[in-house]
Amino acid sequence: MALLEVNDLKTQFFTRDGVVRAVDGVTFHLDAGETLGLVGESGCGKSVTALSLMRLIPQPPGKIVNGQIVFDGQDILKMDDDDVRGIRGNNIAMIFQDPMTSLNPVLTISRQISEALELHLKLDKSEARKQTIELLELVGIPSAKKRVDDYPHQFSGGMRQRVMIAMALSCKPKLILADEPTTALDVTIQAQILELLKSLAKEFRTAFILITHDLGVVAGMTQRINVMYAGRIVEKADTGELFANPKMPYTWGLLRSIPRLDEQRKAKLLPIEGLPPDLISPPGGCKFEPRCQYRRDICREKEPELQHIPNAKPDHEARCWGTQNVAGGGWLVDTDWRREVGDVRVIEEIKGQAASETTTEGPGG
Amino acid sequence: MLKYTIRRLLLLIPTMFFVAVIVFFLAHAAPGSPFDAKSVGDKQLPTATIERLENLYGVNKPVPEQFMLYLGNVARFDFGNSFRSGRAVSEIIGEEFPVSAQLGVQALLLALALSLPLGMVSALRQNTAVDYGSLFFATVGTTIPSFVIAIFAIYFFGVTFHLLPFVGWSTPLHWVLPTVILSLGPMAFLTRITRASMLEAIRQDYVRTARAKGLREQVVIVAHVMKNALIPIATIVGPATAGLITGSIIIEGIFSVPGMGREFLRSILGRDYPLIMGVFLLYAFLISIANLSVDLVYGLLDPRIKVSK
Repeated sequence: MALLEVNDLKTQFFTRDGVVRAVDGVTFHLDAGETLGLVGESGCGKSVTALSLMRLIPQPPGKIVNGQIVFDGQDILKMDDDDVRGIRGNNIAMIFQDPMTSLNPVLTISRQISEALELHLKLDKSEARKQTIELLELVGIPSAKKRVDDYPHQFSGGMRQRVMIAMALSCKPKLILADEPTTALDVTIQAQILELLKSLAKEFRTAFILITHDLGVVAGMTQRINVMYAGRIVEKADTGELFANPKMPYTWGLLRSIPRLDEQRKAKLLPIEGLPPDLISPPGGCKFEPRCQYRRDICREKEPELQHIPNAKPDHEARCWGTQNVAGGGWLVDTDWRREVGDVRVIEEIKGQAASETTTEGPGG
Repeated sequence: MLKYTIRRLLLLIPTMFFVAVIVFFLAHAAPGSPFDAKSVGDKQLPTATIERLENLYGVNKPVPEQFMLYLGNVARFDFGNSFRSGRAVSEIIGEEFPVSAQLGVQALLLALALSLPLGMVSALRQNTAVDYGSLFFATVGTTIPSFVIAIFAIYFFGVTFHLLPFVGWSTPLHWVLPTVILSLGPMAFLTRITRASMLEAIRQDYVRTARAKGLREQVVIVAHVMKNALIPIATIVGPATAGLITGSIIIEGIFSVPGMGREFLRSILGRDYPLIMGVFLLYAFLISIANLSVDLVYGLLDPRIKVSK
């Protein structure tokens, strides 16, 4: 049985301007000890998905309006608040994006880690402290014994993220949600933190959901990847398959926008033109259609489902008419994204549209 | 911490010196004399008498010379005698200061006791009736001056319904109106600050981290939000205390409280130089001590501020 099963999750924010459909029908599952990558641009619903799993969506304005989150056989969305608190930090833990602001500046490191230990594992103060020191040693904080009573401002960014990781590991959770754990850190520290997460995941057999906008980060870390766009999963596959044989034009866009060291010097980095859609009134057809250089009429008319792709591995699915064998679809099934850039005229068209949108919307805010 | 405190206390000496210089020269620069008609009660004294009095008290000497004499006396803890009553300044202050201090401390405690919970509840129940009620109170309290409220309070509680006495300081019942009215201003101000800093703290990322640990909401609020929210509040309590000290001048006048506030006004109007100096120096000292205490508390609350250096 899967450790986590998410079915048709919908989280919305009720704002003055309208209902923001931040997560719009997300379905995925995760086995015990498995590592899943959740990838997409800013604002595509990755973090909201993660916060929804722990029921940490600020309410109001946010609300989980639909779906099931079955963790260990129990639907988190049907639990009362006490039971959810029993899971938070204990069975599911979270590592947040910005270690500079995610630790409480006026409490010592020892206090902040021990808190969860005392609460969930019912340790007394001295045991919790002993264990805190062990955890800090585990995540590679030098002279942990001396530093356990320090405050967060006495630690560097990378060290603070290690503290966050120690905190997340403290109660040996079955699932850790890591929301952009390395985004706020510089590249060398990023590598160290990723290495640490990887080895800990292996050691503790903890399931991980790694949330990032950077496909480079998930490449070596995860077994499977879900690509999200505009609150939906648009492509899912295991990691090797996704990198070898990506099918959805949005995924191609993400892959093209990773800078490569082995690229020729003159090669230009290709961004995805245009902006993510307004989640209050998203486009009626495929959500990526306005930015897609492979689009056809069918894309604007109807939204595709997440479907298996004919010439790919069995669990490889994409939400794209171009990869689906239906009337008027399937034109991308055999396209090799490395060899061609799509219709250049469409790119120019998208650029023009994006420019006019920004000029009309710009000054008004 | 101890070193820092000692250094700050030593810094009080130059501070007090400059306060003394400024007040002394300003007081003497103001027109009028302790012995003209206005100061002694509308009876013009004969010129010869004034001359003899001026000689006796040394007020006809050049001001800098007077100042040096005064400093010399102060160094021996002799603050002189009041021109008006002839009693020692230290004796007058020793009698009246405890009353003012009691009034001030009572008002401060009352203000804190009500404003902190009110501001917190207001922040935790943002945009509810409780919140709007406390915001209304806070706005009214900061905008309407205390002496206006004092008049209404005297009219209703004192004159119309005879619930509370409003002249003097003789029984605990007499304390009620001056204390409550004096505390209203700082209470309103502190309520707003508390609400604002709670709202600020509650939105921080570390609060989300605390919730993600599975802590109960009460624990999140008490252990994580409040300690952070108290930092800005503590910085405001210093000026608020200063406000209570000076604010009591008017309130003591209105309710005939036999405190230093009354003496403060009387000494200025009568050009009673020794008393002016005594009262001003004490006020300056109190405000300095209030500020020092706030800085020390600030260091205790926020580990990022190092007080020990």
